[in-house]
Amino acid sequence: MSDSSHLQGWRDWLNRRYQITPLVEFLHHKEVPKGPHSMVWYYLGGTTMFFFVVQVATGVLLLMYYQPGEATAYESIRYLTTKVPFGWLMRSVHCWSAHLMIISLVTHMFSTMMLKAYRPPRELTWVTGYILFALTLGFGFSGYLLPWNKLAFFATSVGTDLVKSVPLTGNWLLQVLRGGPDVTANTLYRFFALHVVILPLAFVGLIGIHLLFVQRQGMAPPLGAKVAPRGIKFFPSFALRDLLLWLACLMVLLVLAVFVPYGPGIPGMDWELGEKADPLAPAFPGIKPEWYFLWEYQLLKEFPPHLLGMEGPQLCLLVVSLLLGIWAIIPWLDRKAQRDQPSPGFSDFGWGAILFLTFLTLKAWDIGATKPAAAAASLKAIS
Amino acid sequence: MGAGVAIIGVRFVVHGHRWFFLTGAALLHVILHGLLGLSYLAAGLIAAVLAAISVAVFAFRNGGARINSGGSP
Repeated sequence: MSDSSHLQGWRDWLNRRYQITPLVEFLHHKEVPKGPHSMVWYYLGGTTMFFFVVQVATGVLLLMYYQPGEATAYESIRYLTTKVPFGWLMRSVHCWSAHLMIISLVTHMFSTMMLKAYRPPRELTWVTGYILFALTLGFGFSGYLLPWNKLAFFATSVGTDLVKSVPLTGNWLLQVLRGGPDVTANTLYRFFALHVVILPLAFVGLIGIHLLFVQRQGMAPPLGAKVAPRGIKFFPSFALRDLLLWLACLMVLLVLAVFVPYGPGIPGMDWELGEKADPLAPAFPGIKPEWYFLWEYQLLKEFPPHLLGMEGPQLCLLVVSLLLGIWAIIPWLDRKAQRDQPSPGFSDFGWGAILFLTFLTLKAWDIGATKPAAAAASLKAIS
Repeated sequence: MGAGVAIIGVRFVVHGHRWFFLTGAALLHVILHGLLGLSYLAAGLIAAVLAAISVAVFAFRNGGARINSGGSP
C-alpha cells in the first residue's frame, strides 16, 4: 500500500468519526490577504504564541524543581541553576522568552492599531487581544516574585502597594493580593498559584477564543479594500513561513539564553538571582520594576503626594485607567475606520502613545534625561 | 526627543501623514519638561490643552466630517 493511500485511509477513518472534511476544505481555501502594507505584521500573532508555547514548556521543566515557600523558593532556584544539568539554560530560556513574548505582543498590538485591523467585524478580536495583553503583564508580575530574592521581594512590595490607591476597595484588594498586610510567604503562594494555574488557564481559554475569531473571520484585509483581495494560501504557504519564522525565533532565543544567561543587565531586564529576600532588611534604593512597567513607575514618581484633593498615586491610577479604557474601546471610537476609511487621528493617537511610553521609560532608565533644574541652568547659561 | 522628531519626519515624508496633534503634544511635553525644566505635570497639562485646542480648531474649520481625512491609514 502506498503512502498516499495510507494517508487517505487515515483520513477516511477520521472522517467517518469526526466529519473532518469541512475543516480540511476550510484550510485548503483559507487565504491571507495581500495588500500595499507589509505582510510582516501578519506573523506577529504567531511569534507571540510561539514564545508562549516556549514559556509553557520551560515553565513545566522549572516546575519539576521549584518549591514555593519562604525557606525553599530561593534555594530551589539556586539548586536548579547551579546543580541541575542545563537548569540555568531552562531558566534563561524561560526569562528571555517572557521578555521576547512581551516585545512581540506589544508590536502585534500597535501594528493592529496602525493598520486599523480592529475595524468591524473584528472588534471582539481586539478586545480579547487586549485582555491577553493584560494577562501577559500579570504573568510577568507574578513570576517576578517566585525566585524570592531581594530585588523581587522589594519590587513586589512597591508594585502591590499601588493597589492601595484603588478607591474604596484598595485595602481589601491589597489583602487579597498579598494574603495579609505585607509581602510574606502567603504572597509567594498566591503569586505561585496565579502564575502556574489561574493565569495559564485563563490565557489558554482566551487564546482559543482569539484564534477562533481570527480563523473564523480571517486576517484583516488592507484598509479600503471593499472585497478581500487575493492573497497567499494559508496552508501550506503561510503556515510554512510561520514555521520558518518560529525556527528563527528559536535560534535567537537560544543564542540569547546561552550567551547572555542573566539578561542584558539593563534595569528591569536582569534576572541574576542575587541575595535571598529578607523581609526585615531595609529596602535598598533604586528598585525598579520590569522594563514594561517602567513607564507607570516613572509616571507615579512624577505625581506629587497630594493633588486636586486626591492622593497622587490615586490620581495617577485614574489617569492610567482612563487611557487604558480608551485603548480598549478604540474599535467603537474610530468611526472612520468603521466606514473602512483612513483615520489618521487614531494613527496619531497610537504614535502619541508610543512616544509617551518611550519617553517615560527612557526617563526611568535615566537615558537622555537631565534634571529639570540643571536643564534650566544650562539654558540660562546659553542665553 | 530625537526619536519623536524621527517618528514625525518618517510619517510626514514616507507615509504622507498630516495629523501630528498628539505626537506633537508628546514632543512638546518632552521639550517643556526636559529642556525648559517645567515640572512633568505642568508640561503635560500645557501640551494636552494645546493639543485639545488644536484638534477643536481643526475640527471646527473642517466641519467635523473631514476631521479624519488627512492621510492614510
